[in-house]
Amino acid sequence: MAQRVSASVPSVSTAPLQRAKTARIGALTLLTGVLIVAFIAVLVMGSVNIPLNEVLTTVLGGDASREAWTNIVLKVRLPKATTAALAGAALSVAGLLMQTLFRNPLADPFALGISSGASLGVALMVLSAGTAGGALLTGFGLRGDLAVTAAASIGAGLVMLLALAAARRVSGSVTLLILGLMFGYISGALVTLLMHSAIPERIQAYTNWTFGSFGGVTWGQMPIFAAAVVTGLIAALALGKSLNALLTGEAVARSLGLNVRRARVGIVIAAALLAGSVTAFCGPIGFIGIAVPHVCRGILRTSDHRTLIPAALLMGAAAALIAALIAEMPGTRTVLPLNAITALAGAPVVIWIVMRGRAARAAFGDA
Amino acid sequence: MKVALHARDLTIGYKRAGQPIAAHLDLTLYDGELVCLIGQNGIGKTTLLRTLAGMQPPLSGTVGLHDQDVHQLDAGALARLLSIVLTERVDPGVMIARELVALGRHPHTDWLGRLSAHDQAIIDGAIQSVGAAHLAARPVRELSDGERQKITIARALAQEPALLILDEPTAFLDLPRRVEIMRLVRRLTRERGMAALISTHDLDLALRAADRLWLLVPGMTPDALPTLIDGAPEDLILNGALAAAFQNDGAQFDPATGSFQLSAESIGVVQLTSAGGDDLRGVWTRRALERAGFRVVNDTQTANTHIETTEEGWRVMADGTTVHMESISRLIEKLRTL
Repeated sequence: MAQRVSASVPSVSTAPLQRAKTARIGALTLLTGVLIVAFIAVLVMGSVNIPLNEVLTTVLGGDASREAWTNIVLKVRLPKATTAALAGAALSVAGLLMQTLFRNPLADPFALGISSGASLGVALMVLSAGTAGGALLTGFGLRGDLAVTAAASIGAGLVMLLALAAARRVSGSVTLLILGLMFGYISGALVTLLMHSAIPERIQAYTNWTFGSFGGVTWGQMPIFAAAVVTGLIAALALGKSLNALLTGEAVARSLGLNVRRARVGIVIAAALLAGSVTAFCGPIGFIGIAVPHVCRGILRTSDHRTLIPAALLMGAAAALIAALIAEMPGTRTVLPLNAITALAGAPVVIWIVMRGRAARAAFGDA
Repeated sequence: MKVALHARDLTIGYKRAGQPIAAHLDLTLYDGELVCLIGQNGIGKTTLLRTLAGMQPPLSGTVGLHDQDVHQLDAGALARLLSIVLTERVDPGVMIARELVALGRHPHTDWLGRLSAHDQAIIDGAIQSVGAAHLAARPVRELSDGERQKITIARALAQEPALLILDEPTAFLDLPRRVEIMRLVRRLTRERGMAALISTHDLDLALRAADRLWLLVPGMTPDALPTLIDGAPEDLILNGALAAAFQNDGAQFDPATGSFQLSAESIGVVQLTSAGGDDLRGVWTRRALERAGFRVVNDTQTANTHIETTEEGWRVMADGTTVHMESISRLIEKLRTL
């Protein structure tokens, strides 16, 4: 047997390690604080602003001084805030998984073609169905409609099965990325064909779905949505060690004892579950999933997934809540398309982070 | 000495290729031993390394590492016996050197990858072993190629392997760094009783550092498979195996110096003797003359030009005249006009 390393007096200084650890715990605590504030803000602000103490009373099981406030908080804002937090966490963590798996800073939660599959499912139902099902045509009814969620879930699920079958077979992950991209083109083409022959009202309904919304998940649907997201998040946390090994490239990861194929299948399942459930319940929400992981790396200055995954989870939830708040245009009756807000509000932040620190640019080899 | 690696009747290659790359190899590597794998580009060095490392299955035969078949072990168990340093440079993102070394503990840690105090001590030990304590807190991206190679080797050591395989570890490095890395691996094999197998093009360094060479040479006939010659570097020089292996490469192996000479048509024969000046002057004069294409001899029979090194420079005696030269470049110029 080879002689083991003697654990001699370590003269490698551990002070920087301690400092980095303290900084990371501080950052995670700060993110948790931001998340809580954003969550409460979504409950308080909206077309009608409700005083904070009334909101807290309602959430803690009491009744607000006006019945309308109780209804707004419990039936509209609390499910919306919960959905936003879950969706934001899910998209950010899924985006992180995809960026690491593909070693590509431009990968997003939908790199596997998950949202393409969901979009095709919804398009098939909304655009090609007969004139029956008129309820679908109204904007808000559409998102709450279980049929849409089911169509999106089936579409996303089928793509996930395809991606999984591919993940078990191919030797390199790049093939998966190309397959996802090609599937996106195919489904985009099919949707275009469907739109070409659909009536304008249905095209409008489909377009509304693609705007994305956190407002469509009812308390009845929440357990299913929450269970899917929480399962995906736990799976992602458990994959932290494998993801760290993958940072060295697949060949070295294998030599470190990682079963790369098994890790890849796990990552695909977790990411597809997270991205698929969000798309099914909220529509294809862009930007958060690609941007938050970069901001996390930039701020925390680490590639360690055991720190990055919790950070992306917290920051993603907070980002989605802030986007929901802006889209609501507090004090007005207007509601803006969510997807426009995530990008409009988020892109300048990312540009600032990327221009400011080398860490984010360095994350994937760009000097 | 205890056997670390033992390949029995090993045939390597790719199933689809039809013909194996090399067949019926029997190879043994002992604990604490450093072996360099030498051969021309494309002859199959990497395939042999990959097969020995369990990264690709053999066409037939077995590879045993401390009595375990590397192709039967699961990835984790293999990673605790064997670590590999590959040529390919991968950017690990925002990471300090110590974090990269810590990844070497991957096969030893629990499912969450938590590092115990024992793991931390091994990581620090590995960093110190390669003399990189001062690099530990530096971002990996900011390291030079040589520093990075040291950190990569520290990562491999943190796996606590019985065998370390390095695929052309000196490929991107300048000469001092190449010597440094080779010396480092040589010292590590001694200190840790670990076996090391290095594929390299640095014949010069391999001759100095390796306990043995595995020389992969082309077959005698165009159809024959390459064969592997195994022996101490000095044996392979003395029996002519090294010279034979590299004879067609446009460079000639010189057994006297253990290095390559650029082979060119001889443009003349000169006699070189010393009439003063130190030995170095003689050595470098000879090098320069050979580079210029002259065959250098010590006797007067075949040479019609005679060069003498002196305290101040060189004396050139040809066609009955004697000229004095004060630099090698002038000397070569003069010889070309004769």
